[in-house]
Amino acid sequence: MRNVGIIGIGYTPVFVSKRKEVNIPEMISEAVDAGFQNTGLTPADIDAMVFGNMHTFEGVNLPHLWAAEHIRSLGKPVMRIATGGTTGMAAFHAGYYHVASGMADVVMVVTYEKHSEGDAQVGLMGIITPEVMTMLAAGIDVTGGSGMGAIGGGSAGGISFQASSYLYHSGAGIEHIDEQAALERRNAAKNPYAHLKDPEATAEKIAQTPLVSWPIRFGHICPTTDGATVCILASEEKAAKLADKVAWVLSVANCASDATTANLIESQITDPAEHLPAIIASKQAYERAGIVDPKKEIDYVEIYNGFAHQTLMYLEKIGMCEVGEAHKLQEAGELEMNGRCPVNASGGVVSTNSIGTSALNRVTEAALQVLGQAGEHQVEKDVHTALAHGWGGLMQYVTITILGDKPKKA
Amino acid sequence: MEETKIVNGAWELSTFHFPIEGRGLKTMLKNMKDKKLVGFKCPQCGMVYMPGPFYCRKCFIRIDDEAEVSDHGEIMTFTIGYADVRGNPLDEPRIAPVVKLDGCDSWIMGVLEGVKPEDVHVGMRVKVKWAEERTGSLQDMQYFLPE
Amino acid sequence: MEDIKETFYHTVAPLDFGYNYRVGTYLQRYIDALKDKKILGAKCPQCGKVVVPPRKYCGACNKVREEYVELSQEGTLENYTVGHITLEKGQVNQAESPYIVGMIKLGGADNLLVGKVAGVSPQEVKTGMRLKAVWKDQTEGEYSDLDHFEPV
Repeated sequence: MRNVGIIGIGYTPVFVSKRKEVNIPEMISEAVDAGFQNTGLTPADIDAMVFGNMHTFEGVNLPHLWAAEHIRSLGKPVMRIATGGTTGMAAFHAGYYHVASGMADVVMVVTYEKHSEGDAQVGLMGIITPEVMTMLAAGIDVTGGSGMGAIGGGSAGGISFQASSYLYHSGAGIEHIDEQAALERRNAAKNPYAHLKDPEATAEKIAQTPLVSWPIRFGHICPTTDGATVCILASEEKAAKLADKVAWVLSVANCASDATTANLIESQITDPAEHLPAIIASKQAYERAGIVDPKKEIDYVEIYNGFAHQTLMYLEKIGMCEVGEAHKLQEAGELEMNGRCPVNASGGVVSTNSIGTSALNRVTEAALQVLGQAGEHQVEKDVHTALAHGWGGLMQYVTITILGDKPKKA
Repeated sequence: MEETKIVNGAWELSTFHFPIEGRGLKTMLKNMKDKKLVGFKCPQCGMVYMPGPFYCRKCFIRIDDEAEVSDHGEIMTFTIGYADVRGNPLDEPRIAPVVKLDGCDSWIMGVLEGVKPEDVHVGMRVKVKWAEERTGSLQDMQYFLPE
Repeated sequence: MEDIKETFYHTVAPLDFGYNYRVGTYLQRYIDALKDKKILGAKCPQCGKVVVPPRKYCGACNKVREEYVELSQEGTLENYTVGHITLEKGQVNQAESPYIVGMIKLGGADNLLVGKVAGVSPQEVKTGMRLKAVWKDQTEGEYSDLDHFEPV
């Protein structure tokens, strides 16, 4: 397998709730333009493209074909990926496989989501529509008032059990989730491409937002965002010609497992906070990258946290700290931008969530830290190795990417 | 730049027809009329699922043996709902526990009554409160009460 | 596995997912012009090709089309098909009468515009026919302002 590096990143100029002036292809073209501008490359330099987004959110099945001219894909091989929340990183992995295998030398990964054109809850339900219909036929109470299976509600339902179980097993409290949300919204204020920015965010202010389903408050939940992100990957040989600085991909890994929601067709046999896929994928990623002690060797982490507790939970699952230790690191200030274990300086998904891009943004933000190009939200310590994490689906799919400032030795 | 026009569209899902394997669910619902909880057991590894799939999720073999499970169990995790599906506040907080019934390896979700939100905890023992009139619906198992 | 089929639930979704699509800047200009009974295309600054309806990027040249061009109301029928069925919510129905859908090369455009062709029978329609645009009397700033094409 050849070495592969990130040589370019492009974002839409803003990530906001509603882009009211552009249509989907026009919005995506802005990120593609940014990718070309930031690198000086042209479509002729791109050998293949990978496109990612989740179609139920906009009701457009094949947006990469609609936007063919806007993403400059005419005459090129294009692959389309849709894996829920991990779409952006799974698309990145597909781009990585193209180059690592030798099938292509330069690949552009394009991702987007334009939530304002659909209904996010409807989009999420699209994952399990047949099961929901069957439960209705079996007499489930949709208001959740009584009976078996009482529907908790959209994405917050299943996640509330995960957050609740996480608190139980780790000893953390709801106040730690409040602080994590505040910390990341403060970080987001330094990221021009974040959606929810609040330089004055505090745990107390977050704690004043109403509870949706204990321990999840409104203040812990990600927004829905319109935006697009592009990432350009190249082989070692091409990267030497085309880029001054490169963020090298040291390893990729992913893992899937069963749904952990109390779905009445599949029945639940797994605790939603157990998250075996995160443990398995991170172990594989470390092995492949030659990392023996992640706590010492990984300088920076981007965690996919649609809900604020997930930063703490996944830090433990991927072995960046022991079980029950994440909230203690938070209390000691170590998770801040100037801490010893900085996380989500970008603001994380809890500050910006256009689903197709969200997992790719974890990679691009980790890359910016490795390249020293994160501007105002660059962390204090030197970042030589960074980890990007993504999760998706009914909580069961996890992707991991490890980046470094030097390519892997053969 | 100015706002541009919106055009409405729809995915006409109402034309979709989904056949879904429901043996486990139908077996469970049929027995609930008699206040019995019935799942399926794998003869190889012993896992008991309710509702039961027609294959064991650990061994991947076809399973057909029914197994009755208790209507008593313990809380594995829980949440307390303060808002409905759309985010509108509820009149009263609603406790939703995920319960592992005795003799069953899979967990079911329901509603817990008779306990104050601050008193619910992992490991709490609960029992099923059956509806007076049962029709073979998920609401026959009306809610959980502390044991 | 016959017995598995018996145990199936056959569920139908009692809902449709609704969406609100923004038309975007280029189609907005096109629709605004329809209100004035004008048909606009957009031109690539490099290859000079004009496309209708207008689109932002010329993929072949990697250039943004910035110039809008008013096209002729007349054109040549380059391709057509005759429809015999209509589709509604997954139901296939017999059309009241066969209808012609044509692809028309308007004067000034380099691609073909799709439109309904009326005023000629399916037996007599021919490629190469000269057609002209027919508008609704009261235009509203909607796609339907351009009602159909008919022989000159």
